[in-house]
Amino acid sequence: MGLHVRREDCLLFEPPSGKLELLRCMDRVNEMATKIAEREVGHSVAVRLGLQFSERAGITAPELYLQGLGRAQGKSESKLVAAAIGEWADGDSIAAHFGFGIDLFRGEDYGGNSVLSRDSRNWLIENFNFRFVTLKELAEMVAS
Amino acid sequence: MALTVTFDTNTLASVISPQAAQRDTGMSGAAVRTAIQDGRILGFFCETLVTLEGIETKDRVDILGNTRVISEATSTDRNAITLTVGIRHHHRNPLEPRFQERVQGASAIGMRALMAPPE
Repeated sequence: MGLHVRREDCLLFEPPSGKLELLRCMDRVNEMATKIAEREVGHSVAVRLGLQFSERAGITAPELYLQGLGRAQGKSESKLVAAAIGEWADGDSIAAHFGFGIDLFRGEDYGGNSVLSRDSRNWLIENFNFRFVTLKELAEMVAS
Repeated sequence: MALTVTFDTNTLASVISPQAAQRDTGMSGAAVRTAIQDGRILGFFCETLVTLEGIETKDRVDILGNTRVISEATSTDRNAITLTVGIRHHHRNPLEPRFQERVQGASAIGMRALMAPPE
């Protein structure tokens, strides 16, 4: 049940060897997304927040956690939702990076309880051979 | 063989528009941009950069809160039924022009979007 980009917005990468390879990549994307969720960062932050808002509103009928996010009250909760969406996107970037076997990840350290915090980055480096680079390091690599 | 690199949202702008970045970042960004354009780097970003972060911060609660599951059934002949289930963001505006420019800029220099997990 995913939401994908429209072709007019940008083109999705397709591995040169075709659909079977794409399916293998997506298995790995899902595998990493699950591991990120187990650490309670990435997408799971938005899920937790949505469920919390639904519960507070006394909703008993089943609803999507996304609908729960819509129950945020006031500016401070709206900011929490906006930040959770940013964290969700970061988690997806890490999962996609791993799944498609990309060499280097260019991203900042955001601290806190994040998939890009120092702790999470160390976990990714130690367990999945992630290589993070700064823009300067990347520029030096291509210059040499 | 080209290096493959994933860029997150906050770092993409410095490569797409290095001239708008701070001086040091801008110089590195320009070098990386050139490397992407001439194929020494294959640059990627995750599609959620568009589907999620493309929603303006002020609109996120409203748009995500109005997300619904949709389903559609079609039949092309007597013995074939196709069921499609997915989610749709209602009330979603087109991408904000500056954001759209960034995404199109990324595509124009050869960067491609990676498919996200189907959450």
